[in-house]
Amino acid sequence: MSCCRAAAGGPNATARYGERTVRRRVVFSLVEGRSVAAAYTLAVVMLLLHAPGATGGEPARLTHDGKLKLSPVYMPDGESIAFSVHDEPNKVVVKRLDPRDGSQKLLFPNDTAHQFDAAFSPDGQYWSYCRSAGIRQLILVVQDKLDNDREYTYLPSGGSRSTVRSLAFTPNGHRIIFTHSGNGGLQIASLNTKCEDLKYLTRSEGTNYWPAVSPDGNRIAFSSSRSGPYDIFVMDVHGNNVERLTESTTREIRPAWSPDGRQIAFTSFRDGNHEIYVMNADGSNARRATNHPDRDDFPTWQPDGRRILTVAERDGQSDLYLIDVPD
Amino acid sequence: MLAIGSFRTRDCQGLTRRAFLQAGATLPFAFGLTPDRQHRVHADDGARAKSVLLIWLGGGPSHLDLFDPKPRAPSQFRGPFGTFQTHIPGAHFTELLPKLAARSTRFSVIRTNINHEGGHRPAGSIALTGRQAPDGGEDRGGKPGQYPPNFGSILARHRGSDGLPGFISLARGPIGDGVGPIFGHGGGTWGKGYDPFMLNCSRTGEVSIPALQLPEGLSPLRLTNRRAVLSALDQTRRIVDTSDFQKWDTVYQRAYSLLTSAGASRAFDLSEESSTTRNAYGHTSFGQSTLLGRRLVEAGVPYVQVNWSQYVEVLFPFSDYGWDTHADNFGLMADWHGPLLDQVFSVLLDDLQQRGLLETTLVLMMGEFGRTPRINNIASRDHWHHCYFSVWAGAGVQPGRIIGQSDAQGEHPLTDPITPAMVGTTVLELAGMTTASRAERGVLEGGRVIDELL
Repeated sequence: MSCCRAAAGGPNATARYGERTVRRRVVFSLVEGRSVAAAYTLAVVMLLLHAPGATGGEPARLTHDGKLKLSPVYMPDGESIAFSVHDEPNKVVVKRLDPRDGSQKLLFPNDTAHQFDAAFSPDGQYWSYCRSAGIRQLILVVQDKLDNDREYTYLPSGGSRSTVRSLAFTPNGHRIIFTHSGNGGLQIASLNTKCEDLKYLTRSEGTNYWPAVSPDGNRIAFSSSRSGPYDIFVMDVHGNNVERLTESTTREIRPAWSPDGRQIAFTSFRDGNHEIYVMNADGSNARRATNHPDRDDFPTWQPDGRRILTVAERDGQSDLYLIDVPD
Repeated sequence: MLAIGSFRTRDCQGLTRRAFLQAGATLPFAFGLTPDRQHRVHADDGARAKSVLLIWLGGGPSHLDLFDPKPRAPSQFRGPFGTFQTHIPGAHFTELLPKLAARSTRFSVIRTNINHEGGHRPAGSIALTGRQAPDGGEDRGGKPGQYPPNFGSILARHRGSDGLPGFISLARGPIGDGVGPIFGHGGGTWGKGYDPFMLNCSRTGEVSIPALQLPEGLSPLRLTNRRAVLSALDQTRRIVDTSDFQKWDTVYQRAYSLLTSAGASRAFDLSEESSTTRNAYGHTSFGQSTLLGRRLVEAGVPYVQVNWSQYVEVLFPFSDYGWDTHADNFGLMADWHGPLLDQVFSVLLDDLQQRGLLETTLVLMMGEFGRTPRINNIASRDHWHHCYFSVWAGAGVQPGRIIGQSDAQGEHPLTDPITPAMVGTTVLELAGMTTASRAERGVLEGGRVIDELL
């Protein structure tokens, strides 16, 4: 595995990444109530500093409670991590981890329902997640953090038990892409940030799941069972020009774009258990990032592209880890 | 604060006489004080199974997505999961079960179970008792107490008990769905005295008694000083009249005796297990409960039921991730249910075998039904009682067999269906209850043993 890799894409890409990151972190700091000066200072400092354990080498364990975890994602400040966790005694909640001190807190403390799959607009204005809501089981919730947490919800069409899962924002923050049950199966769909203007992006047989939008906003990677067990496909943001990237007899799921858009991490079962793989964005050069008999799952890239955040089971405990990107 | 059963109050003012009596009524059998104790039958009296360990997957696990995949079926049936070849020639499981596929020579799978009802509670009652309620059961206005006794109640009554309860069920509370408990979970027509003794095991391995919760700060393993416990209950004494308190106190003393007896406290104490073992089962409530189930079997409890969850529902606000995956079946199975089941049941088989317990323990894993082979209009699966699976191991069950064949879509058995009565008859037969002893008790008369397992 590589150690301390520079962000892929060369100096220009690194510079662009830095500008975007500072800009995003400033907005997010303002959302969180900091002054403009403080927001800029914090953003620059955070860019210069790496989070503990984020510099390569052995996998870095970020949590130690061992509770079942799902769907981790970096928040717009580039440091905090939101993830779903099976809390005691019978609740799935979204928590926010500060990797610097390991502290965790509820991200949506006023919501008493099960919560899954948080996602954030890149500037931090919109926070979204899936909420268990009685018999209509998983609805989409969007909170506008710049409008007193004004809440928009989408109750999925398609029957009283229809669901939304696996949320992702477009890089411009204008739309949310997600998995939607209905319209003949599980399809990839999108809404604007007010939970209006539903558009289906897939209309295929089988199930379509885990959409991930490329950093340039032009493509969506997703898993589909349209031709057998789940494989990874890409399409443009309008749902056209579908290409198949993997062809396996076992499932290939949860694609995640690298920040420079050149690579895709995913979970594969090709070795007989859950392992993290990375491939080029055209599907070539797939190589294994983990090699352990226990489960490695839910990959997402660190914002600087140096490492990959995963949920790994080790010694019966499910925790967040940072792993290296394979060469 | 003190709570008993579902009654929890700030200052005990809400504890009614009825609540105490309910708690008391459920406990005597739990401590081996049944009327039949003098007729106790020992497990070594011809029984292949000294203990039965039922892993109950309440809610209805999808047979197509676990043990009976149909990869060649049309996409509206087959689902998105690949398959793994097992060690059984020609038999595949889905890729959600790689560890069990690798251990397929240790157990056998029935692919043609059927039930007579399609609702959770009546189907659960039938699956756990082998019979339908004469008054129609839970979904047809039936009343509690009309089902015949649970297999566990029958075996526990047959065996009696020296100390530990004869039938222990592990869950956070009475199993059922959001509407209510499964009537067939316990003594049924024999009365609540034959209900299982319920224990809860948390993901950290802490054991508690849902029906007799202790004052805060006390746990069964800390009960070393009865005087201290009674002191904590002084306030409760004052609000209950003397006769009721004496009844309750008698029950409490029995509970106390159990919880503080050397055998019981050791059986309940997961800290006696190595960290390797505890880690292997995983730090989930289901994982640690399954480990506790193994310890109870090891301690000689005749019938242990480990429940995946208290409720069948997955995503309702009250629920605890049962198998009723009407919505998001494929996401939940990939995220959660499949990997957890594969891990825990694999470790259980390994553990029982390494300890030499598989020879004398009948392990059975099943739910009340399966799920619709045809994927519904929201890309999930609903209830399906016409064909589903059960997994059997140990105690004379011939391992490495696939018993029964379902049709090309997994909708119906092509071979003889296996009924709940056949399941119960086989369980009791292996546990030493012969046709004659079943007839003597008036249970499961006319039932047929599943010979293909033996």
